[in-house]
Amino acid sequence: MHSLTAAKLQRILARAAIAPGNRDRFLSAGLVIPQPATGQFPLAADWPTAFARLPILTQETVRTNPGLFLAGVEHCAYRGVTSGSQGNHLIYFADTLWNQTRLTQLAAFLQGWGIDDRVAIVNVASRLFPLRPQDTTLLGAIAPPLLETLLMQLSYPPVAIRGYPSRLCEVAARLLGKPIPPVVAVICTGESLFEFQKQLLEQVFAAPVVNEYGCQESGISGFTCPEAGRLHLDDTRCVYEVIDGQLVTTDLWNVVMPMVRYQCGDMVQLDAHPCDCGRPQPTAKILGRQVDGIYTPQGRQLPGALMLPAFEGILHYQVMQEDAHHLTLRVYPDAHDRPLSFDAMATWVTATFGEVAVQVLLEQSPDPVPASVLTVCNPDVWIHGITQGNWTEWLQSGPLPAGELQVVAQLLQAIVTPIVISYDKNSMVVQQYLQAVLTLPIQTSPMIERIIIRTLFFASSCLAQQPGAIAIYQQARERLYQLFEKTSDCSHPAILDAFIATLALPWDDVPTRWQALLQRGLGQTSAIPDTFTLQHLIHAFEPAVQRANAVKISPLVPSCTPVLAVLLGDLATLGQQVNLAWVAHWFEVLSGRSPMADPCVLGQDAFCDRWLQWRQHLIRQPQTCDQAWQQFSQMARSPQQQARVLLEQGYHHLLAAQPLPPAIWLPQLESALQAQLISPVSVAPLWRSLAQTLIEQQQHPLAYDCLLASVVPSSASARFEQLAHPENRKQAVLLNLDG
Amino acid sequence: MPWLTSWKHRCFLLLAVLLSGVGLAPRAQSAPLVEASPRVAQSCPDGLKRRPFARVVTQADPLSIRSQPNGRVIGTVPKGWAVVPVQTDASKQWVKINSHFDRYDGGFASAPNFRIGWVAARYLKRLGNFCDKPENPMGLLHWHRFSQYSASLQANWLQMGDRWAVLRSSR
Ligand SMILES: [Zn+2]
Repeated sequence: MHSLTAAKLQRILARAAIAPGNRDRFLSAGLVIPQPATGQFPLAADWPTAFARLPILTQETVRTNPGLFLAGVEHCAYRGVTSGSQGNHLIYFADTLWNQTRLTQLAAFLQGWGIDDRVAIVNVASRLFPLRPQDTTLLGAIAPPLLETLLMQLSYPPVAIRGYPSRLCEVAARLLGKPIPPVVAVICTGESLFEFQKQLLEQVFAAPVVNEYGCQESGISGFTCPEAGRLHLDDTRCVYEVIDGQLVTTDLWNVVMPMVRYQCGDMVQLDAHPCDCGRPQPTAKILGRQVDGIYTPQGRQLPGALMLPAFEGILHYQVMQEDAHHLTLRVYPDAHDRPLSFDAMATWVTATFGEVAVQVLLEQSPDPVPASVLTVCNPDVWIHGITQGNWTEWLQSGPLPAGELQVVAQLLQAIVTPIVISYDKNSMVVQQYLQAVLTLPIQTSPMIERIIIRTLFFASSCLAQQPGAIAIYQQARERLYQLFEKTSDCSHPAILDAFIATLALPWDDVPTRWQALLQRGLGQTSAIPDTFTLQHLIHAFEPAVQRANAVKISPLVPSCTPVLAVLLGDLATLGQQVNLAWVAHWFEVLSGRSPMADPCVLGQDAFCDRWLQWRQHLIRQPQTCDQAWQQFSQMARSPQQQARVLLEQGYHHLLAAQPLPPAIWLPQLESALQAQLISPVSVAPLWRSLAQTLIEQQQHPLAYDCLLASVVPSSASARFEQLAHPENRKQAVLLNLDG
Repeated sequence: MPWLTSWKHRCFLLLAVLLSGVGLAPRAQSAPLVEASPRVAQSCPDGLKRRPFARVVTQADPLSIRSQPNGRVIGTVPKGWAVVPVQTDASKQWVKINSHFDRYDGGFASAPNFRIGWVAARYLKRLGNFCDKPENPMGLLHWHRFSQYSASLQANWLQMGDRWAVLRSSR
């Protein structure tokens, strides 16, 4: 073993010994020596020998009680989910450095295929989250809207495609014969890649097909090389062994959940000779999982060991083995109306599976889907719906308004329910509608003009990371001034949108922007927020917090994080009590400075006012806020208010760097949550702190539960789950139904 | 292996599409990739044997400990405590419990009235066999609820705004 690797391994083993799930194993192998005096388990002097006889850890064992394998929660920054059938997945955690190392190695492999930072990777119709900031994920049914969007994305090169080979083949079959813009590479991952799939993808996308292997929780991954096409394993992030054909790995980086001699379930076949391409990494063939064995005359074989060739006239196919004597072939013929010969396929079936009864299912190419008919409604009805009603309902079934507002509604739709998941909410579709909205003339109806203005403010928040965001904001503000001169209506929530939109835009100009709005008299607003305002806040918080995380000057960072959870939790308690003073406060929470001189505007609710005053004290002088605390906590009457006081007490503890005793806090939080007195999101910072204390108290499984509950909400992952859930799953093309 | 000529093609296509719609699709979709039910296989540290543990699951009050099945009350054990059931009476209604120390030597801060004795079986929930008191009784109880919170967060981004917009007052 290389000395550097040995040092890393030693460090990770010492760390893993903290996790109770590893202890018996480590003790039995003599890897650690118990120290009854200190209660610690330091590594034995001859740890390398002991490591070699350490019993294997299976994924099933970890899945049964993952918390036992948690070694610590410091720097925990990554939450991963292994793929697996329903209920069979494992949620694991890792640290920042682990994730950085993973991305660095990934970049190195991608470079080998000419995929550098300038090339965007579009994940297509597969449950794959964008890897890098410039990447996107296109999800949903494999139907015209998805295919058209894909072609549009490909028309902005350079682009690479990534996905499960089964799903990519479905997409390719639908695109066959259409002109397709150039693609840098097609990356297949998540399933075994078979020869016929490779040929179809190469043919349709006219690009090299790359095979990517990854078992993230074990630290192993790999890519085929362009020269010889062999799968090179990345052996820098883990120590790997092959025991009885099974891949066994020890991750060298993950200090949150170190997996030691871990067997993820994949069978591999290591190549004996180095690859001709000259890369030093070992190469291997991934055979698949033991349970996926296929009957053949030579005995059970793993899918990766079988060759599935391409056949004339057949785009792709699936083999389902009912038992050793019955096969079903699901065949997707190409569109040519000519006789289909199964001779070659029959020969292959007999040679591969022996004398078996075969049933062939020919899949008809899908009928062209008729263009969806737009349902149109009266603009008043639509405006009422999105301001007083419910966005979820509108987006699920709702009609679009007739006239000028149609494109406004389409812009909102494209921003909040995209079919392209990206980190910055921007897409060609959004830009297309945005340009149309920006050129709409000033409307005579104040109601219609107002919703255009609000939508522009909303868009400037959501696209705040884009260079054009400020121009959108400025146009919205100009239109608002003109409208205000006409109507002098200070009670409309559109005015709040103007202030909210400053949260996510670059911060240097925020005081000036507020001053400008206040000079116009818009600070006198008595507006009561409506659905649009609250949706705007939720969508503005996300990019605003990204900004705060980048500059790290928020008074809540790093002791009371995730900050987004605090802000969303405030909103969950305030609802329609949100006013200008709260918006100013949130800016201060993020940036450490107030956007206006005297932000103590009184609202309509005495409790919320006292709460706000307490909060301002808390973030300005967390050490000396006793008086504000007294005044605030004594105001609490209702159970909801008392629960809010409890939360604030928790935040105060965090800011004062006092740990929360779990024995006291867990039951209290639990009962408040059970009675639905507080929103689960607001508890995330407390869960994080509790997880740390629980580890110190040797309560690893409960610490893991806390980590699970402390997940940061994100609009992208919510949309991802919504779209990926019904479609886009893995599909084995060689499947043993007999088990 | 069927042999197809062009004139048969259409009929077969229809049949095949029918088959895929009716006969096979459900089977294929629910095809189980059966995996052995997971188990934690861990040996006990030296000196400890695996013993059954059960949790007190009363609604609110502590559970009464009696001198014999349905006998006089000699002590109590708080809700949520993990105990070791050592004996069940013939009626299966009463269970004799012990602490995880195998003896009672007084002074459980969180269960000052604990005694070895009999409790009503319906207020005990079996947890399984463990080497030692399950480290975290709360963890086992809370697992589902915790993960449910995180799941609901992921699912309801837009619904958050819809829901909060109808909150008129915190009162
Ligand atoms: Zn190579």
